[in-house]
Amino acid sequence: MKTTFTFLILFLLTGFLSINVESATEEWSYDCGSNMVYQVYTDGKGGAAMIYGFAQTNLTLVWFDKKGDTIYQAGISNIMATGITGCTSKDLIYSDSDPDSGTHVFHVNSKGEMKIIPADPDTFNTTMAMMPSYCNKSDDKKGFFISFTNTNTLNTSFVRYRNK
Amino acid sequence: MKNFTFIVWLCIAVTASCIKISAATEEWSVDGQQMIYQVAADGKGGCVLIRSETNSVFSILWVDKKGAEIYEAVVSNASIISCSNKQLVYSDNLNDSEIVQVDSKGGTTKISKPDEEAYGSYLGNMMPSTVMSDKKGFFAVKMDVLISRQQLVRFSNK
Repeated sequence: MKTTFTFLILFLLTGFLSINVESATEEWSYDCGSNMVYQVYTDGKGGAAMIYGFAQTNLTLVWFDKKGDTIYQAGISNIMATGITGCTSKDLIYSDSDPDSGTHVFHVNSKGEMKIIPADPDTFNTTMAMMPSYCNKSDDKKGFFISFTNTNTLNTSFVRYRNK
Repeated sequence: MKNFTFIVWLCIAVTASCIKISAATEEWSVDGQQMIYQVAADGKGGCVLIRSETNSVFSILWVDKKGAEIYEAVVSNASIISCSNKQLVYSDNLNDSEIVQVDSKGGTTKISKPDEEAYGSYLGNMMPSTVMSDKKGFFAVKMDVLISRQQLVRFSNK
């Protein structure tokens, strides 16, 4: 009886281990309204920074942690200033420009505290990447980010998927 | 005298150990057709590429570290979202806007929702990022100017 029971458990365990879960699993999502996702930059730990909007100006930048909670959110005046250029789970770097205040490089820490990288008089800071070298990274070791647009409402959602 | 000889030999040994063999070696190549648009190294010696033929038919090709084909499909306006040696994820507009997940055996799963079209990011599609190297080597595009064909060539670093 014991032997039969052991074989049964072994059989079930072997079967369980050989199951190949291939399809991706949705983990969390963010409602972008009737906009499109312009740029994605994963932090390598399950979170990401993302810029969405309707045109190349007046966009929104959001930095999410791995659970989809917002760490930082800001308006982006012009995506042509290269947008996000660096993102980890601890730091976010992005660049933006507008006719009034000029071009700036911004640093945000994991508490959501933003600091403009100071520039010397008569100079301004910019990022290395210029058109068409946008940084765009949509995946990490455990998953990836895509967006869905509803064909009836045109509402877009930004979705985190786990690989399995 | 013995000390001097010892120091000389020590210097030679240290110098020799610092010399780097930097010449790259071609390992294999795959057909890039008329034009290669995007390359994503899988980090283990293989890669995915998107290419097009002279008749503007685009295809995606995933090869392993030996250059052997894992997956190939005709695509339209596609871009690579994720690539490792275990899976490939890409966006495609051949039929509808959809995301395709491919496993290491070449099996596909479409990621979809009812009444929704799936995309990567706008910039990811318009200006797809390319990764041409990994720890052990890199990829280069070889252009044959006489027949206007490209090859994607894998080089090891040494």
